[in-house]
Amino acid sequence: MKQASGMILATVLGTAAVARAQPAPGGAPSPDGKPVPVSDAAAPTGTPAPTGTPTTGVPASPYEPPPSDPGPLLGGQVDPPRDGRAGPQRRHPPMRFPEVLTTPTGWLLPAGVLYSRNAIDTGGGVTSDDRVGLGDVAEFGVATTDQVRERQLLADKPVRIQPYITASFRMGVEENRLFAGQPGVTLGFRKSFEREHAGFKTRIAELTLVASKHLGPDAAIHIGGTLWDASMQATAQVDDMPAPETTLHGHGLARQIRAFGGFEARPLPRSQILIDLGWAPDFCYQCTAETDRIKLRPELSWGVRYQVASFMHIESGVRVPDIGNFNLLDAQIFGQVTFTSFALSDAVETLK
Amino acid sequence: MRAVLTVAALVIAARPAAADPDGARVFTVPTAWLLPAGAAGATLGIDHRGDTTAVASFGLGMAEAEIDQDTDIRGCTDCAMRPLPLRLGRAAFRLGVRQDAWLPGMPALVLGVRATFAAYDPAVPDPRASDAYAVASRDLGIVRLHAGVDALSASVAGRRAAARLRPLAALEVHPPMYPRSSLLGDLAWEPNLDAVHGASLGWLLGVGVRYQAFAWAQIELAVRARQGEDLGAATVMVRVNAFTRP
Repeated sequence: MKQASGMILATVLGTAAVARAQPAPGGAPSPDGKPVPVSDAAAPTGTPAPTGTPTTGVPASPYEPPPSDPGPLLGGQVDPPRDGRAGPQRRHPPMRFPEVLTTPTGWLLPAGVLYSRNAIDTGGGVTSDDRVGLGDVAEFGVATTDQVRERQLLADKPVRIQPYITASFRMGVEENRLFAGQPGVTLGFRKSFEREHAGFKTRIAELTLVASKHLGPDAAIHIGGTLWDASMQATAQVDDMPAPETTLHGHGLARQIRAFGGFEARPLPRSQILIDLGWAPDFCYQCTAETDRIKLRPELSWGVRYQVASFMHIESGVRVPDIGNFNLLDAQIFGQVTFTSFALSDAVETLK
Repeated sequence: MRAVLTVAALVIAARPAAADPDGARVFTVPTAWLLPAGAAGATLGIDHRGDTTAVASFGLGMAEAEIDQDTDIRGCTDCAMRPLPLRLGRAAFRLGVRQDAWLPGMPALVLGVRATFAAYDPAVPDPRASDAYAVASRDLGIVRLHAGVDALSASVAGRRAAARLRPLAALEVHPPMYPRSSLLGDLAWEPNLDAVHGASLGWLLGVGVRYQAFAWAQIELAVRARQGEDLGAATVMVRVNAFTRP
């Protein structure tokens, strides 16, 4: 019995030691040894956080000076404690955005982080994208998109279908988690609810695999592949039978698979330049050729993300919906506001 | 050639500017000056015919977002009569670098795109105008130069005109004896929207003065003349610009 207790004690101590040696969930090593990632909302001025500083739920080392955070009004991320009884400051992990402008990144929201992006553009598009980070390995979101477009004939000017509601789930591994130099990788799935418009029912679904890698502390590249599917069906019945359904997958894999990518750079501490190229489906209801009825069109966007506060970013830029058939009149100027909140994450940590 | 060399020598000899001046446009010509990050700008203007202009802009570091309502574009259904101003809502995104950012003596550079998002009581059906421009600006002390190229595209009543390139040019003179005043002139092109024949382009010349009333506010008085209109049709406008700092 005494021997068993000793073994149990040794096992517990050994496990504790091993557990202690694990890096904190949010304290991922920086991609290149420099601690400021390109989307690091926690360090707006580019000042690197001390290497090895615990970031989530782990008290700061008593042998290191406490981090001097000036508070959110002065560009910091947390309020100073209101009284002396408050516990040690919780430092948040870096915020890396799940999207460049329209395409997904290989980064996930930190655990418990709430994310909300709301956008308008000169084409009359109004969209919203709300997500929550799940355990540093996944992310769930509900969004409205204005990227899906429709037209009656091939020569017609396409118009957007909105709101087009989608749900998304993404899972992945953060940068450098498995080995040094490993890019952040996410596998994402996005699916729309059925949308009925102009006498047709349409749906879209998208599977994405994307890798994101920092190129130094102030630049990053995103490269991915996407497998699209979409369907459309007339709501009118033919001889009491449902109208035939047209699908994108019915015309071969080559029409479904596309590559996408993006680049971001931070030339100023609070400002990032963003460029990305993605794809969006376009429905043509009266096109005679089956292959013209659902098509993927390339979409180019460029713009700037400006950090107003630790919890708020403004993005603005230009989006060209069908860059393959470029027309200056189709270019849209967009503006969007992104809010991020660690409130849920902090509340969960408090409960622990 | 000699003129080019002279301008180049002036540019190189110019002292590096501490900060770019304020103002995203001279009268019509866009400048390459960008608002500092977090700064905001507003412009309100009216001409002697009562046509108004309102612009709001916000600095994003190396870029600027702008939303405006103006009457620079003219339209007509019966173009034997004088074309009418079209009150359009437009938004612009400007991305660029400040002067001396990469090399001493380099001008500020901006790439901008402007698109129409609304038309208020238009005299022609479905007016739209977009343009993309590249412009360079340099502060040489007494004078400020602006030059660039603009790709303009417009449509009216469903008729689209392909994008066409036109130059942009502007000059500001700041006489040393009047430190708060400057003389301005600019030349730009704007679409004329003919509902029957489609869109065409016409030049727009502006000449006037700007008075720096406060560090944060300017007032401008200008005369603008257009291609195809006689001198009597020129408009006199007054405009106020204000800027905030972060």
